[in-house]
Amino acid sequence: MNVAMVLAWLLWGVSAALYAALAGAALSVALARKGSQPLSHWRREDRLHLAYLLVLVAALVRLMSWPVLFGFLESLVEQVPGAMCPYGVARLYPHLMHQAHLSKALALAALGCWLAVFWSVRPLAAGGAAAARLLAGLALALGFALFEMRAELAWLTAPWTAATQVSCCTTMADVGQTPAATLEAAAWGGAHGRGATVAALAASLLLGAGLAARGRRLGTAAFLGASLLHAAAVAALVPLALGSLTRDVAGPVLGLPYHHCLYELVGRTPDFGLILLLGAIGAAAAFWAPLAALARWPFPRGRTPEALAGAGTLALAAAALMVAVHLLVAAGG
Amino acid sequence: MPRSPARNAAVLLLAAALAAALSQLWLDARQLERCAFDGARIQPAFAVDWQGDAERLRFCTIECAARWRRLRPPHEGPEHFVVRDEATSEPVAAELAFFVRTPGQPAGRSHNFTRAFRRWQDALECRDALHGQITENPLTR
Repeated sequence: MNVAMVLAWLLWGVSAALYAALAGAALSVALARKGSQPLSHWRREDRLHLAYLLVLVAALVRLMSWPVLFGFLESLVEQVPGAMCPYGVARLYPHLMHQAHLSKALALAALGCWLAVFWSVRPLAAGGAAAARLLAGLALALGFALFEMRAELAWLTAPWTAATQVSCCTTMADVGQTPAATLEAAAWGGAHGRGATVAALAASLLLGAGLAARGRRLGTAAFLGASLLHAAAVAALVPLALGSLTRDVAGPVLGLPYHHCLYELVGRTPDFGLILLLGAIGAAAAFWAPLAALARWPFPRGRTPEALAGAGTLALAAAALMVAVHLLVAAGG
Repeated sequence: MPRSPARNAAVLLLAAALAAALSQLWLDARQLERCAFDGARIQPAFAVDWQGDAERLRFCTIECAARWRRLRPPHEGPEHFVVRDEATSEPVAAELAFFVRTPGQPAGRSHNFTRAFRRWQDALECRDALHGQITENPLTR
């Protein structure tokens, strides 16, 4: 037990309380809809706004739990034989770590999606179909959130003092394995994914910018079609970009040609956490935009979907620009 | 004066680029505080320095320096390794040092089992105390 683990437990407890309050607020609206004494319009809107605030705070708390997990892994580096960095410690329980990262990404995307849908349907007033859609969306987002809480609990309760010898990327370089192989990056573009990454990034940025600039002129069906194309480009970009960061960016940026480690990139640099956050927001917004448009159907879709596509594209462009500047400055130095 | 969305976006992108440039410059300035092979923090008592034609690198242990030497592309031109005498922590040229390999007794980091000494007598004492063996310079070609 160390400071990072205490902090992780604290965030877990706060999140559990927030989710319980959220479920209570949602249940009170859902049960009142079916009961003999339905809630007044204002009271229902109050509770949905309370749910909105609770989701916002819960998403921020769960986001904070991610660097805390990195801090915990970093704190064990000196105690685990063979470990040179947090990635080495993570290799003690690779399945728990994969599950923790994946579930955090899914839960944050789901909570963010619910917030986007809330912004989109709120002008319709929180009655009737809008409230039903918000409640259904909230149930789905809570499902992802609980999956993430379970994954967090799994690594929090694991015996991290196990005296197991682990190795890192550099050790793998010794035995001739490519870093791509160490991170199951065959699905991320393998050793030749650089061109594909740039192509997917360009497609994502162009489609996103087009949606933000011209989306208002499109009908809902055409907007949804273009949004799905944009989402497909982003879905291809995410694994390619993660593979490229590991394979092509980590070494030059860290000044360690044999150190292909995303963990180190985030842990050692002051801004790669922000870069990943911007990239994640950019990627998630590509999915939030069509869902926000769909949530209002059959009403006109409003401005939220275009605003989401624009903000997401800007975040993705900022992340790509920051990586490019890092590489340029590193090459110049 | 009200700002257009395009201008706001340009300001944000400019700020992002500036932050990334400053971050990379900060990283480059701290390069010698970390092992040039695996990025670990360097304990000065076990540091190994490498001096090439115009470049200087620092490693956390003899093991990391040796691994780096094995993995790097062939090096042209003069190069020079400096290890630390384990008895005094003083720097000593690798070609003048005596090396003792002590399996099971790590030095500095958990993966390093090679120690360097300036004096032959110190190397022999270490070998006897830790049941190791005298070994040739692991940093030679």
